[in-house]
Amino acid sequence: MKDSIKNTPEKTPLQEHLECLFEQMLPEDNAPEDVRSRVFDTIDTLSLVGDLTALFTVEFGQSEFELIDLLGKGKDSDKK
Amino acid sequence: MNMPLDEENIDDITDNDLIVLIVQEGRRELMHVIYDRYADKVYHKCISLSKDRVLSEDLMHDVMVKILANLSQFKGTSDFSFWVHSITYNYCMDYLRKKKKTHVTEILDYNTFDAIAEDEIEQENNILKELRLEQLARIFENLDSDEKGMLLMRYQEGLSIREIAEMLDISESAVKMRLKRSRDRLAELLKSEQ
Repeated sequence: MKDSIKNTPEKTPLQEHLECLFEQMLPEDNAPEDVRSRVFDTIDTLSLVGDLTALFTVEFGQSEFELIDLLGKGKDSDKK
Repeated sequence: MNMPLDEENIDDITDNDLIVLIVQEGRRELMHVIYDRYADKVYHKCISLSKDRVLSEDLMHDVMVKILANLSQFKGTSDFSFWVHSITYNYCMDYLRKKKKTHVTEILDYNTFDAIAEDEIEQENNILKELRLEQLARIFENLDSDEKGMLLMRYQEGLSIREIAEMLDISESAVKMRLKRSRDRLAELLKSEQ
């Protein structure tokens, strides 16, 4: 991220001073490990919900159209 | 065909290439690599903004889910870390604003800041040149979340005025004004402490 400001004008003494202080205020602890499992459980649930939604909307609708199409063809061949 | 990836070459793969593999080739297991690269950064940002470790875990969970579930929305036109940072900042700030039910009201005219360079505005605040780390740590708690956010983006993340403006979807003049107000408030708190 810091690379992106290399082209900006020179820093003022105040900016340098504040940057130095704020960098020292960065938290040092790592992200708690149990959050990982919670995140990926939620992602799995969202993915499942997405799959089910697709099944009952796009794919279900598509297969219904195909079925109607097939029935229509069946009726046409009966008439012949 | 799936490209074999071992631990040695995973580090060499850029974020953008990882996202292509996840989104276009369905390599969902690579989401863990994205998680490992950004979890600590997101967590630190949540702590810096909320100053609450328990709340930060929940915020981090929501932000990481938002990022991983929306990888297909990342267009690759900007740096991925900027995209992550933007989602983190905006999500945390929305949460903190709703919690406090505060709204940012801009009273000053943005246009007055158009012609002024940021460094000229910064020069005005001499008292902050004397600020020490322990003082900053103490008075930072008393700033509101918007003020904290502005100062962190500018001085901890090293973002430019343009980048902050893009992230918050506001004008550069508005960023300069909010930064000035945040520095003024910091100076005011420092003065009252002395």
